[in-house]
Amino acid sequence: MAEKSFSTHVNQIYLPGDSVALSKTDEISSAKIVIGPGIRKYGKQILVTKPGVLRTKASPATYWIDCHHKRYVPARGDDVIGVVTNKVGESYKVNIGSSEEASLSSIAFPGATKKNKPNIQIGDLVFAKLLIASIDMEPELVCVNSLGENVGLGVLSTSGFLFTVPLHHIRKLLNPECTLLKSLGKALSFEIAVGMNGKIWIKAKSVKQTIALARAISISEHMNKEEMNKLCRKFVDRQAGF
Amino acid sequence: METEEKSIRALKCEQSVLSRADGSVMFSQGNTVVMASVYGPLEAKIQKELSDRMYIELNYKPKIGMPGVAERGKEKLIKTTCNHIILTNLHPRTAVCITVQEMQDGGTLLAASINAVCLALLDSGLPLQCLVAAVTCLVDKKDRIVLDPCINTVKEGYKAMCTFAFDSQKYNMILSHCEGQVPYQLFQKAMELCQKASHVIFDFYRQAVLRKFSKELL
Repeated sequence: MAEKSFSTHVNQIYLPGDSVALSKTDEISSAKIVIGPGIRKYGKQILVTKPGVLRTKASPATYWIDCHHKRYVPARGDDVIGVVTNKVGESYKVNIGSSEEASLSSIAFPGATKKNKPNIQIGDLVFAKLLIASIDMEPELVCVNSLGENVGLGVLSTSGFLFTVPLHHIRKLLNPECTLLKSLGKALSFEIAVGMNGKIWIKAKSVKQTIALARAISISEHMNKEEMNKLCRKFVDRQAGF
Repeated sequence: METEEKSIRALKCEQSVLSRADGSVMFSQGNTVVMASVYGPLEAKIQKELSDRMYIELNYKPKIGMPGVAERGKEKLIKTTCNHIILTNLHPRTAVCITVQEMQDGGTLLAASINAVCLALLDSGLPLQCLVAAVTCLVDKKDRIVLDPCINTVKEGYKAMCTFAFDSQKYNMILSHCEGQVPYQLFQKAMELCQKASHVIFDFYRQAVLRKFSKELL
């Protein structure tokens, strides 16, 4: 079998059960190699567990699979949008689209104390960060950072619009190289919260603008860079009235 | 010397056909059409919850009528292959719900169902250990081995019908389901034919995933 150079392995499709070959430099170096989502180590073998494109990054040498899925699995540190479903004692139960509902303490808000708690109703939307997210425990959300400061998390206004997109599209939108949200922002001014669990909340000045923005973001899922630029130009023209 | 053999029938699939399911596929093998959907990881019911693994719930729905004993039998077989390929220890106390709907019976429903479930699992993004491909072989009344028989061949009568499922790493047999009586040599020959044919199915899976990601590959 011909020896393939490492450059032919990255940015290629891998299916579950395939083994990943590390680059020659990573194989011989004793530096840390990070195995990311979609790949698992079985003894000496490194096997792929999810279908997708293999990506790599240097320092620390990281390997992961870019996969397409809709179901969110909680990961620590993710910012997610959830719907409050219940109040249990001192905390709220929040539906973030995972297998288990997350809990959000009523004093995990900026400036909240036992006597001064925020007024949250069932059905409210919250933009929160996952503090605890493991396969064995119930996920826990907070709306403050570790110093208790306000970092843009909290309850989202009910006059916005919540919709769902697949998880790979969320990652594409949040990528600094993606200019879609910035270009749409040149046409209209809007407020947006992007949750890593596939939920996006948008609020613009009117209902028509909100729906137009939501549609533009939804249909850009299968577009590459040129098509997205074309979409933004068309969007700007339409908003200007042409 | 060579028994009558041909390659398996044409494979076609359409992925993500259902908008609400986490993974879904409409799969056809010749005239046999099957739709499979996957929802998971979901919250498991307390009675069904397993403390260290994911619980797999599988429903097979026939085209006409209520699911009966034959359908329960198919469910058990497909569930066995799923238990082997899904990494259930990564999602304890959750459940995955897989539904298989028979759309058209052109023979080899069990094999087509297993292949459809594998494609649906690929579409859903659940962590898998490897892939599975199932092939059916028929030994007719003249002792000829027919690979991937169509419904007409099955209706003519047979001595034995065997379905084998193989994994994608070492092409080992995960499942074997046989009906009828057949000498051991013919059984072994049938298994070897099916193992060779499973390569075609694994290539098809790769093509299907390649198409899905075609816009992201440079």
